[in-house]
Amino acid sequence: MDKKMMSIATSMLLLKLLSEEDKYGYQMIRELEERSEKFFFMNEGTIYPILHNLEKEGMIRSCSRIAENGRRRKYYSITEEGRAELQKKQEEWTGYRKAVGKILGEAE
Amino acid sequence: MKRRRKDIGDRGRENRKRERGINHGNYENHGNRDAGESFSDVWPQVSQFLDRVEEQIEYRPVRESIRREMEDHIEDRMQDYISGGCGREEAAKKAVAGMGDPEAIGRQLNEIRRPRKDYALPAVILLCVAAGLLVSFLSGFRDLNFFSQNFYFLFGITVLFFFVRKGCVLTARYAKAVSVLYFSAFLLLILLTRLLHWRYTPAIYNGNFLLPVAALLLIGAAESKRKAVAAAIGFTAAAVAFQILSGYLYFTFSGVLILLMSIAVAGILLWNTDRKVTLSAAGKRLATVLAGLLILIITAAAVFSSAYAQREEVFRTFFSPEENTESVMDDSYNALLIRSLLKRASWIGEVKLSGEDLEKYSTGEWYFGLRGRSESGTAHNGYPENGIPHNAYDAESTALEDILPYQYQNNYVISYLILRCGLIAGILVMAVIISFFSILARRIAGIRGRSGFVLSVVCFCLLAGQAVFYILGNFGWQLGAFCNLPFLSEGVASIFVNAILTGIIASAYRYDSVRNIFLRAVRRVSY
Repeated sequence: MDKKMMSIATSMLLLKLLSEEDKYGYQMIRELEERSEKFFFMNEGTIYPILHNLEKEGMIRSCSRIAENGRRRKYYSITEEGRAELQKKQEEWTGYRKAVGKILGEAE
Repeated sequence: MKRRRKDIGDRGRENRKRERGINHGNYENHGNRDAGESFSDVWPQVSQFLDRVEEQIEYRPVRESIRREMEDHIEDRMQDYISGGCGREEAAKKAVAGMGDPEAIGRQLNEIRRPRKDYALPAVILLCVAAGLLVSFLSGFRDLNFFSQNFYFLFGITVLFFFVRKGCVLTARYAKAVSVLYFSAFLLLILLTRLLHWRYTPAIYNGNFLLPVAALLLIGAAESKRKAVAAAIGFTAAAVAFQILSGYLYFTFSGVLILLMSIAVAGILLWNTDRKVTLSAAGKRLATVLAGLLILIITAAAVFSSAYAQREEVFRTFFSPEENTESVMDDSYNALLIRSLLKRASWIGEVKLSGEDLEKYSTGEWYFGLRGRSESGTAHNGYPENGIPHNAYDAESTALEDILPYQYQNNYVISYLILRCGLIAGILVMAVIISFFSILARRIAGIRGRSGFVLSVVCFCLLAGQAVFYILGNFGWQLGAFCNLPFLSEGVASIFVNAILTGIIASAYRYDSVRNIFLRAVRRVSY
């Protein structure tokens, strides 16, 4: 997958993770790895430009909080705008997947 | 030069080490570190990686939080590797390698986290100031000290520039001290005015407009939101009550309306946004803000509607000045005069007035004569018997400026420009004013940080409120005494206040992409 597509897909996945619970960067990387069975194995530092961009766009916001390991971490939480964006991206993704599936002759 | 930068960088790192030692002190599980030593100081490869990311980021104040966030990430990853049986050295190496290219990450972060540039707003502000100076120039600087006016405009532009560059950050950092100092100075000024019968000064009138800003800063900075809200409402109520009860309300009527409107907007915005996260996380306490503001507004409305001497006069002057006009010195008369003159304005060039017209306008006969007052025999052209002198008419020297209301250079900038240069000039100036406010509004719409957004909307209300009442007055609908027209028609105190209000909006916009800097400074939190 090219970098741009990867970044868009990662944004959607990060929004999805944050729609479930507030999380910090490393926590999200771990969850992406575990839930995708290590399919999403990215350069970990690249998550931060994506997170900062989402924050700049108002999709998420951040605050400092003590994590379960007792350390202070920068937590991100999804905003109402972020939830709306996630909904939109999910619909687009579903449409894209269906269209590709039809061309490849996959059963729905 | 490079050496010096490195020294500064080292000092910054030393400070960070100290901060971490004090604030966190939770790195004891990793390596053998001295007290206050940061995680990356023990692992040079981590430190090098973070330095390389940091070097790409132009805006220095955001470097620390980015560095800390990535440092925490590497530390967590290392801990996982160590738990999985890795040696410490190897864990550090693998954790750093897994992060990716530090320069690429730094460059991407730099694109996102740098202050916005804005050329349109300064340009339109300069146009406003130029229009104001043009009016001073055209009027031949009559009754005005042109040089002091110029000086204060320069002063205002300097204050504005300072606030754009540093305002949001510095004001936020010293929010509590600034707001407490402001409230104390304001209260002292009010008390001195009341107790020692000092003249009601423009400083108090314009100082009112900083009340909502100081209140928002206090609410944002205080450890006890409840006390801060109570203090903010208390001071605002005291200021409004002072103006209502002290007999100055005729002069401050529009100012009080603008102030109450802006505070109500602040309350509503806080109510709406703080349910998510803004200046305070406690929604219930913000319900107190709104309730308090509602009480404040209801109290003010009750006092407004009660019988005080000048209330009816204020409204009559606005809605039906004909009923309120006794002499050429009345505001109502000025409103009627300006309406009458504007009807005769040319598209281009000065309003065409014959010698007879000039005489009638100069003496007030055009109005009082029509109403038959000249037949009363009390004075030429029907002046009342109160001895108020009318303008002397001299066929040789009386000009447009001599028939206009007193202080037209300050209060009737737009209408003077129309009468002196034509409707086209007036339309152009109105276009500049509308551009100024539309650019401000667009900037505010682009602010995503909630605290900066709330502050900016309130500042916008205060600026726009002044402009609306000023422009209405220019077309003959005057409510109380004249407000100022930001950057066009100003006094010393208003230049200062309006420069601060505009500076806060510009600063909030400028630093929005390095969002949370305001909130971080207010709350003194790590990120």
